[in-house]
Amino acid sequence: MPATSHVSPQAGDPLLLVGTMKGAFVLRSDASRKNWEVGGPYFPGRAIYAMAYDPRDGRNRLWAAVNSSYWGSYLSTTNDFGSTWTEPETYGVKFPEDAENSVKQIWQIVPGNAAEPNTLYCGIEPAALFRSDDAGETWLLVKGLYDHPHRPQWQPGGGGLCLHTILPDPANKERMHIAISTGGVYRTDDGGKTWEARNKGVRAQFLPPEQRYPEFGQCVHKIVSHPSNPKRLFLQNHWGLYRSDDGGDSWQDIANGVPSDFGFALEVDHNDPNTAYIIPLESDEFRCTPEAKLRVYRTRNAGESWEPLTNGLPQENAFETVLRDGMAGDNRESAGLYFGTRNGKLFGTKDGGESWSAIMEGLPAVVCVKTAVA
Amino acid sequence: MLPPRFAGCESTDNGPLTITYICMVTFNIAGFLADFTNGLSEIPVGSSPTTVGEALHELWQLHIGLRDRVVNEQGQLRTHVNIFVDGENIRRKQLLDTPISGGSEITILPSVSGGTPP
Repeated sequence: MPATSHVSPQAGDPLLLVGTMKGAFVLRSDASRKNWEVGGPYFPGRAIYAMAYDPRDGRNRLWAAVNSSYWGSYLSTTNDFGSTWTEPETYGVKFPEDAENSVKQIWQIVPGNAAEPNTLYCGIEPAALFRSDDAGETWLLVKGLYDHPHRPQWQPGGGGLCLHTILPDPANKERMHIAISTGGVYRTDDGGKTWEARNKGVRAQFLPPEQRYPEFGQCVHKIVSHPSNPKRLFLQNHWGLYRSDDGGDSWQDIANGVPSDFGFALEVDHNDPNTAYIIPLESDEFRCTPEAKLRVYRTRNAGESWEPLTNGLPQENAFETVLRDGMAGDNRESAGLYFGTRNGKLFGTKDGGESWSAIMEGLPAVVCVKTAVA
Repeated sequence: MLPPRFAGCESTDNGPLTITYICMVTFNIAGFLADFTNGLSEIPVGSSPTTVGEALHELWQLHIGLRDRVVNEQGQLRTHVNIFVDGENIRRKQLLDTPISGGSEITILPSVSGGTPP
């Protein structure tokens, strides 16, 4: 196994949590965000589709979803930024016996609303949501979603039938959005007891023309909401790019001037709800950056128009793919944005995308990038 | 001479009409899984299990950390884990219902089909 290095962040240091198909990495920098120290690889050989940082209640806890094709999926934590990780004797996220189902992969781990500092959520394949109210010690299946009458009609997308995105509403602990491929967006307004599909206006291009706007069943690749204006959401679909201004009640097509409205990665500027970033891919068959140019597209007017950001990114022979959790922004005044590719390259900007630089190359395929502040 | 179904078992003659048979089976554990057996690679279990499933249930009592790694929450053998009884893969037999006899050796191994894609 490769030698493992560690980082020792100081309070306030920016962190990058990078999950790959063959392990996890924790990167730290200082306020300049210029140079990054690398910790890892952790869990070599395991696919780390989800990572998260939980600073609530005085914790400095990193989470990793550890997926092994041999030994199953479990959650691991570290309270020292990666030097030591937990290896639980028994797995916490699992279906009850009467659910007649088994966890195939953990896709998402997310701290809950700040008002519930011991609550976390976990999304898995096959599509289901789990909740912990004791800081991750124990987990329970969210039955309100699992028993939803739509569930038997959800279908697996290319990545399987996964619940891949969880967005607790920072302003309302009873509200949360989740996204399922292929099921669509669902929202609860009562803390998870009941859920309603929220896909009005979102296209399902893989259905016959007269069925292309169903109540549910869209292949939603990613949704993001703005931290201080959570009714503002963006959605990257399996063909289609959308914005909602009403908490997902309706969606408007905003694929204005992008080279492709197919893609996965999506992020919103934490300081500006009108600014969002995407990395379009060419077609569902090819799934690489159009024209072999690695371009991040930015809107500053909530999707009325988009501009390519290329300074510092390869513009020749760049057959890159950035997946649904492969891009994340920080909350600094001069926005930092980071993304990792299937070809193992990690790029970053600290000026809102005006200029980019390579942070790492030669990583295993990147499937998850998250930001945090130590 | 022991009856065939007790081959490999130890017998104790407790007097007229009563013979106790103790049928040990031994698990062979290697590699990553030994992290959950305190490093033990040979683990005998001895309350006369008659199937692989029963033997595993005893194994879990001794080393609970093996359970979720070998079977899923519905008790089914994980897709890329194989179990051999005296050299025979239980996927070609009756899976966890495969019968075992005293003296059986049960080996748990990751399958050639698993692992992370290149």
